[in-house]
Amino acid sequence: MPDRNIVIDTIAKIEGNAALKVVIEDDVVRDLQFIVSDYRRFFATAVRGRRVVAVPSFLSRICGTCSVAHLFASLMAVESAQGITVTEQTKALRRLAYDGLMIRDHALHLYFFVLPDILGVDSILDVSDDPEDLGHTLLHDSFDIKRIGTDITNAVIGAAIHAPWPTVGGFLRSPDPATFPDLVARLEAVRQKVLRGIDTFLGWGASLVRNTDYLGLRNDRRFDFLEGDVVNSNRRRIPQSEFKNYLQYVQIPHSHAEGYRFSDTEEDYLVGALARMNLNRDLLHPRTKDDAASSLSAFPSNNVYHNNLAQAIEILQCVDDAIDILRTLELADEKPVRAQAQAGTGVGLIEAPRGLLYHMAKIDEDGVIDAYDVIVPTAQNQINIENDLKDYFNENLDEDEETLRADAESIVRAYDPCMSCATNFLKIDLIRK
Amino acid sequence: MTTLKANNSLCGLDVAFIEGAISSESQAEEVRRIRDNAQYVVAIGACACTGKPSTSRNQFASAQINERIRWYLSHFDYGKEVKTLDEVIRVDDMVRGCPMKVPSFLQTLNKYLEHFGIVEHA
Repeated sequence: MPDRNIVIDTIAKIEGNAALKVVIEDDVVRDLQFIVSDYRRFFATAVRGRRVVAVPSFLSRICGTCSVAHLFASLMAVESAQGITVTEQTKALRRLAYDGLMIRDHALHLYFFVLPDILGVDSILDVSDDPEDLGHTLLHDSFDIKRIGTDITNAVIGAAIHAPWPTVGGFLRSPDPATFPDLVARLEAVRQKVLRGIDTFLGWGASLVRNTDYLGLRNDRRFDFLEGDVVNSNRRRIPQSEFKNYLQYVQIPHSHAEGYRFSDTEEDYLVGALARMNLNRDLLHPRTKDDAASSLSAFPSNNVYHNNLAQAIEILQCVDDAIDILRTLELADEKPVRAQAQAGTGVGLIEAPRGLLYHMAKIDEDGVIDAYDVIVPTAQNQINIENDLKDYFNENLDEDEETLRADAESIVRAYDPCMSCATNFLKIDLIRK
Repeated sequence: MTTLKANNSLCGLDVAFIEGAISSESQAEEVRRIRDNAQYVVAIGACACTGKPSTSRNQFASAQINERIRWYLSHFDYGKEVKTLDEVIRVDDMVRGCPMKVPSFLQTLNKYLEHFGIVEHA
């Protein structure tokens, strides 16, 4: 096999811009660079000197896709620093809105970016118009799934993107419970479509198996994206406030995103839906467990493509969790919990759609940001993505260039990376010498 | 450019909708290439229209630019300042807001659909 360079300038169908450069010499991958090519915006520096009440809404602008995740992580960091404990109603409403975010965000990735790979077409614009065609059915399913996710957030937090109602200590405005019965009916109706998606991703034979560590939040009481301690595959348990102490910052010379290693393990680690399903599937909603039983038997899994299947199962989990909350929540008239400004440091560590998201706020005695830090899932996955791709290229060097490029993009896509968050990340360059 | 499709063509665009602020010369070159291939350009959202929040770094005092930030600024082709879209190319319409205001987007979209004879004036 001749030496060569493979370059993919812009990896298609991901959130933002990233590139891949691979150098192959003497039938071995000599160098592989996963390059996040969006530009950094230095949000954590820009919030220094600002009053805390305005900060979460500003930081939700880090990402248009998962703005609710940044908003909530920032609110929780500020509340922790100010000694504010929110009410059970606020927690329930945040959980409900977060179910809406996960349903919409996972559906966008799975149906708009990954489904074309399964159907063997370039994009959703090339899916058949024939109503009898499975691709056509799935695409139209996705419109209904995305819409119910969006409508939950519209009803609960005022918008799907940069939501106006959540604030430090609670809500500026409460949702109208009159909207709940219609949401429940539509969630029940969409379950069948979600199950068709799960079967589709289970049936996809794509595979890349590699040992790695998995990190995620675990709340022993339920499958939870917003509360819990960090656990890894060895069941090492770390409180939220100590998480950063276990991370080793790695500057990536070719990338606008940084990387991280977890000091408790020799291995690289993965965050996201695959980690959550490997660590927490015992905690899923009983209806989800029953109806997705055959798909759940695929876990624990070291196949990175199963991140897609795990996301599809999480959509069902969020549908079932949202139905429960909407049916049982009785809203009281509550004002946001506020406290006298105090100096302090707080951490908001939650599961964004793509994995662990860390916000840290250090606040002075006047309620002004002294220091801020954000660690996003895609940066944590950067080293794991490169190691997966190195294994893939080393094992498949005899494949033709078109296959190598297409598979490399599918592997990256399985991670659902988000460059907006990470630059806060792909072109592919394959170089054979 | 390749968010939805791997295979795209930039030639002969009727209307280009561009979002995002301009952080580097390479991004400036890309929007100039789009401008050269489009009859009309519409700036979408606050980032393109106002540059915010990316322009935050234009106001950083030197004390705020720590070693990590300096490494990124010097290691990649970051522009001296972040710019709005209309500071780099001629813009025909703006849809403001973060996120963009939906009625404003629909009004602008309909204007061009009518202009190119795709829909008739209601």
